[in-house]
Amino acid sequence: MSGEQEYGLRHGQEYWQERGAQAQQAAPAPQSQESFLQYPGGQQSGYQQQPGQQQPGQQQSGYQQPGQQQPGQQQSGYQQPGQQQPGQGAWQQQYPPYTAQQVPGAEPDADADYYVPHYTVLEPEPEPEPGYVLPEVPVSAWSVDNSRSAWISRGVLVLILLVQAGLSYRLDGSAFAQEAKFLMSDGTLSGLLSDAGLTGARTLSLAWALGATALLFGATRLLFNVRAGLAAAAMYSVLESTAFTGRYASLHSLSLFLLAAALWLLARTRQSSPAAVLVAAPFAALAPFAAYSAALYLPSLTVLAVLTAYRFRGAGAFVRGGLFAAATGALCFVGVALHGMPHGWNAHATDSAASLLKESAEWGGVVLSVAVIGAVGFARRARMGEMPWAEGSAPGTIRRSALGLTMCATALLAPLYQAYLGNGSSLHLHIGFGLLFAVPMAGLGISRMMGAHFRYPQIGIMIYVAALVVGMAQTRELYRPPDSAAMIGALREVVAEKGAKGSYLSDEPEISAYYLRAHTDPGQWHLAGRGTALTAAVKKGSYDAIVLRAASVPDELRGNAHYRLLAVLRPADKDSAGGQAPYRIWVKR
Amino acid sequence: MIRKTLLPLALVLMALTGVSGCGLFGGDGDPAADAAREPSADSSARAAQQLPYDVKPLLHPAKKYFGVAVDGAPSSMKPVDAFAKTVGKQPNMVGSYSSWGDGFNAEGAQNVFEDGGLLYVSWEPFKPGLDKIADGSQDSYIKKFAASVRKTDVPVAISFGHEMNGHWYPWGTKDTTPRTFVKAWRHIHDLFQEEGATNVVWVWSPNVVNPVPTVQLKPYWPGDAYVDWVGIVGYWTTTGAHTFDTLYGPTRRQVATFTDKPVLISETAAEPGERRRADVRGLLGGVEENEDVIGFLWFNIPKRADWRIQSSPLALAEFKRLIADDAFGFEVPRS
Repeated sequence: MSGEQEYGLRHGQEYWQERGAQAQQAAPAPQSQESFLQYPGGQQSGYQQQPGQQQPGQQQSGYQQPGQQQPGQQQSGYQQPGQQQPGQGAWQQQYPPYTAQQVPGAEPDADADYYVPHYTVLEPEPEPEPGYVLPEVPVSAWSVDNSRSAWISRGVLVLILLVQAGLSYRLDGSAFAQEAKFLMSDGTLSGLLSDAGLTGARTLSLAWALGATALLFGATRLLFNVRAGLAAAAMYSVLESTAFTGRYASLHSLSLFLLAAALWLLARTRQSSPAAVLVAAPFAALAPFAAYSAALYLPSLTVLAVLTAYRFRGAGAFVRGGLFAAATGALCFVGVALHGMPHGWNAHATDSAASLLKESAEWGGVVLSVAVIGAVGFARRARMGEMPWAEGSAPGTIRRSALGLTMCATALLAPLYQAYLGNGSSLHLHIGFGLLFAVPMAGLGISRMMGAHFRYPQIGIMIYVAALVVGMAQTRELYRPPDSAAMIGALREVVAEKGAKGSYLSDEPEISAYYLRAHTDPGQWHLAGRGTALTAAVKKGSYDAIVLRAASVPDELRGNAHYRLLAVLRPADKDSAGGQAPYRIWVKR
Repeated sequence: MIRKTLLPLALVLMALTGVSGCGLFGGDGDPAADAAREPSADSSARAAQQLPYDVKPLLHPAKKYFGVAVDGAPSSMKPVDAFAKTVGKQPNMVGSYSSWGDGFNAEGAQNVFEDGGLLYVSWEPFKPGLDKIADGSQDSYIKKFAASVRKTDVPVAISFGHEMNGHWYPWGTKDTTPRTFVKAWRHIHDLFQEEGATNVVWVWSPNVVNPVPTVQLKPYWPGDAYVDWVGIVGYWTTTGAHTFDTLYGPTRRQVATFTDKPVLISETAAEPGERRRADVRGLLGGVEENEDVIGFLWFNIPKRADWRIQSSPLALAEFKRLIADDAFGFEVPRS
C-alpha cells in the first residue's frame, strides 16, 4: 500500500471516528445503511480486520449478538426491536464528506487573496490484493519449441527408448539358426563385436534399433511437430518388429537405422538447397546392402525427397528428388559391382499369400490404421489450429495428401511383395521397415485424435497401451529361439570323442558350428535333408552323428544298423519353447 | 518443475535398466553358450546340460555281471544286501518281474542304481496278447511306461516276453507266431525311441533250446538294431544238462548264426541236490571262461524248487569261493 493511500485511509478513519461519535451522541444508529454510503471510515468489505480489532465508529455488517453493540458502532441488517433509538432516519448526517469540507481547526491560507478552503481529497480504497497471480501467458502452444519443451520432449524420448530397450531385453535365449549363421563366416566369428559373440551382436542391434527410433522422432518432429514425433516414436518402439529386431543378431537393425537416418536427413534438408539432399543418399544406398528388403523403400524415399522439399514448390522439389534418386542409384550400382547382388530378395516360395497378408495385418494393423487416420486428418487440415494467429505457411492439400498416401502405402510394400513371392521369410522383421515410414503419420494421427491442447489424452494413452500389449504378445509368440542348450551340451561330448575328424549331419548346422566353434570346424557340420537325401546319408553311414529336430523318428532311422539313438532332448521349458520339436541325436553304433 | 522431476526419474529408470541389462549379460542369457563350455563340477546347470544316461558302456563290460533275483527287491534293497552278505559280494544287477499293465518301478530302478547296479525287468505280457501290442492298441500304456523309464534316467535292462520259444507262457509258441512276437517287440522298441527312453538295454531272452529243440530261434529275432543283449534262460536241474556247454551251448550256437550280440545267462539257478555244487562251479566257470558271455542272473527265490543258494551250505561255499573272483561284479558306471 502506498503511503498516499495509507494516508487517505487513515485520514478517513480518524474523520469518521469523530463523525461517528458525534452521530451517536446526536442521533442513534440507523436501522439500515447502504454500505456504499459509508465508504470511508473502516467499512468492512473484502478483507477484514481481525476480530477484536474492531474499534468504535466501525461499521459491521451481518448479524450481531444483542448486547454486544458498542457505542459509536453502526449496524446494518437485523436489529432487535426495542433497541431502536430516537433520531432514526437522520442518515444524512452520516454521509461521508463527498465534497470538500473544511477541516475543523485549519487555518486559512494567509497569503491567498481570496478564501481558499482546505480540502482533503479522500482517494478511493485500492482494490484488495488477489490471493494468487496468473503469470503472463505466452503466445505459443505445446508444439512451439522452446528450451523447456525441448528438454521435456528429450526426456520423454529417453523414456520411450528405455521402454523399447526393456521390451527387447525381456526376450532371451540361445541363438537362432540365422543368428548363428550371421555370426559365423569363414569358420570364425565375424562382425564388429566378434569377441562379444551373440550377446555383443544383439547389443549392437539394440543400439541401432534405438538409434532408428530416435531418428524417427527427429524426422517426424521436423516434418510435423514434437508431439507427433513423440507419438510416432512411442508407437514404433512397441511394435513386435522393433523389439524383435533389437534383440536379433543380424543386419536388419543396421539397415533400419540407415533408412531412418536417410529419412531424417531428407527432413533435415527440406529447406536447404536441392543439392543438400545428397547427404541422405549414402545412407539410403547402404541400407539394402545390410538387409536386401530395404531396397523396396528407396522409391518411397525418393518420393518423400520431392514431397518434403518445403521451400521449393515447383521444379526445385523435383530436382531434389531426381538428385536423390540418381545419387542413390549410382551408389547402389557401385555397391552391386563391388559386393555383388544381395541374394534371396526375389526367392519364390509356397507360403499362402492370404496368410502372409493376415499376419502382416496382425503385426502392423494397429499402427497403419492410426497412420491412415493421421493421413486423412492431415489431408483435411494442415494444422490443428492450436494457434490460429500463428498458422504460417503450410503445404497445400495435394502435397499433404500425397505425403500421407506415400507414407501409408509404403507400409504395405513388404507384405504385398512377399505375398506376391509367396515367401514369408522374416516378414515379421521386414514389416517394420515399411512401418518406419507410416509411423510419422501414425504419430500425427494420435496427435490429432488427442485434439488441440491435449483435449483427449486418454485416446493417445489408449492407442499406446493397445499397441504395447499387442506388440508384447506378438513378440513373445514370435521370439522363440531354439532351446539348443541341451543339444549343444550333448554334442559337446559327442564331438569330444571324434575330435577334429568327425563329420556331422544336422538340421541346424549353423547353431552347432557357432556354439561348438572351439571344438569343431564349421566345415564338419552338414545340413540334413529329408526323404531320399536322408535315406542316402543314413545308408552311407559316413556321418558320425545325426542331429534332427523331429516330432517322431524318421523311418530312415528306425531300426537302423549303423546308428543308435543317443538321446531325445526336449525343450526345457515347454511354454517358452512353444511346441518346438525335440532334438534327436543318433550316433554310430 | 517438470524438468526437475522428469530428469531424475529418467536417470533412475536408465540406471535400473542398465543394472537389469547387466544381470542379463551375466545371467542365463545364452544357455547354449554355457552348455558349450565344460561345466564345472558344482555348476547347477550341469545336470540340465548332461546327456541322458548312455547305456553304451554297459553293453560290453570288461567284467561279468553278477545278478540276483530275490523276493522283495528292488522295492527294498534289504534282501539284496542280505544276499550279498551271504555270498560275500554285492550283485550289480537285480532281477524283477513286471506284468503287462504294471507301472514301471522307477523307485526300484533308482534303488538298484544307487547301490551300483542295474535293474533287470522281465516284462511279461500275460494280457492282452502280443497281437494287441503289435497293432498299437496298447500304445498309451507303452508310452507311459517309456516316459517313466526315461524320466528315471538310470540304466534299465528290459526283457520283453522272455522264453518266447517255449509253450508254457501265453506269449509262447502255443498262442503266438514269431512274426507277431517280432512285430510287437519292434513296436515297443520304436515307441521307446519316440519317447526318448534311450536308457534301456534291450534283452531278447529265449529259453535254452534243449526242452524245445524243434522251435527255431531266428524267426523270433527282432534284429540287431532292436536288441542289445541275448539273454538265455536255463536252469541247472537234477535231470537236465550238467555242463555249461551242454546246457547253453546249443542255444548259443544257434543264436550265433544270426547275431553276435553279447550273451547274458539271464535267469538261472541250480536245483538243490547232490550235483548242486558242481553245477555252481559249471555256471560260474562257464561264464568266466566265455568271452561272449557277460554275466548271469541268479534266481534266488523258492518257486517250484528251492533255488536259494543258502539252502545248500556246500553249494553256497563253492558259490562264495568262485564269485569272490575279481572277474565278477563291478559298479555300473555312474553316467
